[in-house]
Amino acid sequence: MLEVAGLNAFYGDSHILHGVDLTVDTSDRVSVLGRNGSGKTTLMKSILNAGPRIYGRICLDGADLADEPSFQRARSGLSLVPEDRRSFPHLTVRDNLLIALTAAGKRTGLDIEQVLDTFPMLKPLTARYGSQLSGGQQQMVAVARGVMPRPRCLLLDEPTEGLAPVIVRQLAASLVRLCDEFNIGLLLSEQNIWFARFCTQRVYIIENGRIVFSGSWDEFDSRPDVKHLYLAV
Amino acid sequence: MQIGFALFNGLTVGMSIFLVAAGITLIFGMLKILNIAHGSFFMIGAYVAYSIIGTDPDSTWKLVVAAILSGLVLAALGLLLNASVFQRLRNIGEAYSLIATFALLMICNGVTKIIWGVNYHSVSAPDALAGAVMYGRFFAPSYSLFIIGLGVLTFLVLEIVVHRSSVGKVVRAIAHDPWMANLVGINTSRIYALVVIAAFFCVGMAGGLLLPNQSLSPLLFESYLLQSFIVVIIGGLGNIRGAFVGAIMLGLTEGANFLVLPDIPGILVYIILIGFLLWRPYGLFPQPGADTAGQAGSLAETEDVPATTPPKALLGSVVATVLAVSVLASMPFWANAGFLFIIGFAMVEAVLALSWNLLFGYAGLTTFGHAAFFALGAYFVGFLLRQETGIPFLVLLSSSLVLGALTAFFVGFIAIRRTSGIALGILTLSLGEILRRAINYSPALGSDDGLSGIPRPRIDLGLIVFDLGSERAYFWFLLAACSVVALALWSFTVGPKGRVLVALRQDPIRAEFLGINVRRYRLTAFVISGAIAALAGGLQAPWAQIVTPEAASYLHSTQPMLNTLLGGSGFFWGPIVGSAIFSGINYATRTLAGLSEVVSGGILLLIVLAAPGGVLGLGSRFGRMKHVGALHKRSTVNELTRIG
Ligand SMILES: Nc1ncnc2c1ncn2[C@@H]1O[C@H](COP(=O)(O)OP(=O)(O)OP(=O)(O)O)[C@@H](O)[C@H]1O
Ligand SMILES: [Mg+2]
Repeated sequence: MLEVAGLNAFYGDSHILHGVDLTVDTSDRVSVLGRNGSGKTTLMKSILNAGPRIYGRICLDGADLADEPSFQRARSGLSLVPEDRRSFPHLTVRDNLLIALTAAGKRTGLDIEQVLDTFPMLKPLTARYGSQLSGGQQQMVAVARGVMPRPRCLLLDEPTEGLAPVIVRQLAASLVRLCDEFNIGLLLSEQNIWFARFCTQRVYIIENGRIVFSGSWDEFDSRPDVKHLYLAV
Repeated sequence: MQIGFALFNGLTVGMSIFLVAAGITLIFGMLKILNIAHGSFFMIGAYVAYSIIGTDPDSTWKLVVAAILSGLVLAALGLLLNASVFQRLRNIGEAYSLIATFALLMICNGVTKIIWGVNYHSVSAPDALAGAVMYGRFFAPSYSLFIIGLGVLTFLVLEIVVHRSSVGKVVRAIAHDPWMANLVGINTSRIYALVVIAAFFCVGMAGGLLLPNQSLSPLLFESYLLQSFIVVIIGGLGNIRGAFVGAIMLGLTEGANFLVLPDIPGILVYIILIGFLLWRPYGLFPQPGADTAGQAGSLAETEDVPATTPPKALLGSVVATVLAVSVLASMPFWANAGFLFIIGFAMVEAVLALSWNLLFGYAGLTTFGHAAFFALGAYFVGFLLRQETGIPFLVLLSSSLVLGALTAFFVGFIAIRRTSGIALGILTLSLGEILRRAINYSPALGSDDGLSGIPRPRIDLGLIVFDLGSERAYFWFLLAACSVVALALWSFTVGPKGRVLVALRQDPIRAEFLGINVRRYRLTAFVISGAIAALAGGLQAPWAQIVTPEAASYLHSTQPMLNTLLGGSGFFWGPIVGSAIFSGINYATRTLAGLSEVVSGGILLLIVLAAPGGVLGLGSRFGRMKHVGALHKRSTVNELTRIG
């Protein structure tokens, strides 16, 4: 469904991603692991053409996105939840979710009540403004907003950062349920290996802007050297 | 009774201003561009409506239809400008986008003069609105009621659209976070275009509706420009409600001015504005979470101005300087009088621009009132020369230097402490306007006409006496004085203090951490800059032999900005190059009313859009200096560590 081939990305003169290849099949769930500064965020932003200067092929359902702007990519079914959350401060939680339906375009998005049921933490907060939320609450809003348009592929950038362990478990369960129910593909960038393993079937490791490993979690487990070398755990 | 009438009038003024300010605040809220040209678009709207209905509209409907048509014309213009200019301005720094809209202002004013001429026209209100409505002893002109009604209506419409509609939610989402808005599928470019079109439609319509009862001339842009800025600043930039409240406050202040200080119209507003800025530099409604889209943040600090580069090739600079000075020195032998006169002005303007760039390029402070210091020096020296006090000329010049320094110290001490960014810009602009108005209404200083017939002095050094009475002699003196000042400034900027300034400019936060008193360095720059600007004024008075209040006007304040940015603010010599180019353009187009503004404005706009580093930046982009900026950056950061 989502195919990235030979992706190079630049910030100004600095070359960050070097020929990244990656695929996410329909309803496939994939993790990207890597150290700080290895290029995970850059990869996510590049796929949405939202920042870095990019060269290479990014295809969604076989159609090359070429140099479509990010709003068009969002409408074609890519949904990015950025690592800094970015819920809209002047909108209520409900409106934060509803505004994301713009990205549904001609498809129909999800029903807001259903999404709220999946993230019970948000239920009592629907009338609060984005500016009145804690960091963890904002993270939930951002994730919920990300699934609202019912994307073909959801790109989650370190969603567990700053969340309490209980909440992390809740989030993992909610995510898997939503993705299964609505056939949403997932590209997840994480530091939390437990979370990544729970949510996804395959894993890529990125180091200095290059994919250095790809395979199933079993393959990952059978290569302790990889884990040691690139994740330093 | 009289109080009621004055306040009612004030309210009318306030609502007229709101009609213009609404567009400024809409555009700022979305695009973060402070559109200085808005007053000129208002003027064009008025002229378009005038072309449709002539001087005597016979019914209110005709006036309204003409206003709507001119709104549509302006909306089309907005569409065009959005694609060609505004869209590009989103990617460059605030200060540059200010300059770009100033360039638009020049172009618009020039085009207006070319199309509609420079004569005054006056349009009367349609009969239905020409009378008055009586309430017992109180009567209100119908036209005023019409305007107040329109102002309130416009406010309500905007308020509902922006704050109570789903479109408004999208618009405000973009205002807060355009990047994220794009990611949730919003076509931000299209919304930007719509907002610009709406703002232009509003201002075109305002031009038509406010057409009666005012004199239509190419100066119309000015009458609303400053006031609508004040309103927008008071309200908190980008905030419609704030602008509305600000407009009412400003109108009432004008009314009070009429009662309290009838001799000096318009001055109270500036005094109150200054107090206001010192009290609340970010406006009435600044909290970003509520509905203020734009914070009046820092102008220069967020700027990606190229690092101020010390001339590496010292030899080259010396050769170029000697060459330039020799050519200038030879000019009295071959240039005609008119040209020589302009070159003399250009030299003074270059010094003024150098002093402004000490603030902008080195200290990271953007001020809009630099001409006030210039006028201070010019009036000081001009006045005393006319009095034939016998005080030696060099003493006069030194005193103007001291006067400028003292004034700058007082202003800077308070202003730098309390404000930064746009607030500082508007504060200095207001001080300049106060000075101009004060001069305008001071008979001792010649009021509107200024001081004319200023004699040129002689310099008596005991052994030798220089008689500067002739044009030629004073020109040489001017050249010598300007060169000395420029060299002195240059050695300051490459000296230890100047290097710290550049370092502060690049990394003020880090400097703060290192325990450097950023404010004190900035104040030093402010004082030096003010002193030199005053000296430039003092030097110019005997050259022009006349000083007028225009010397203090904000239009004159923009001249050093234009010269600096044209030449390249990242280069010490940039302002001089800019002044030279500008004078050349002015000289070449001087006989063509309107065209000179169009040409200057057009060039300026091109520079800002295509080469934001100025002419010198353009040169160095291709040359070996490409990497100097980066090298320089490292060395100045080390500088901070050294002194820290
Ligand atoms: N805006 C930018 N301009 C220049 N370089 C950048 C920019 N953003 C990131 N980089 C650089 O790109 C590289 C990859 O950064 P990226 O944010 O993609 O890392 P990451 O894997 O997401 O790290 P983290 O786990 O800390 O979030 C880093 O070396 C970083 O310094
Ligand atoms: Mg990251």
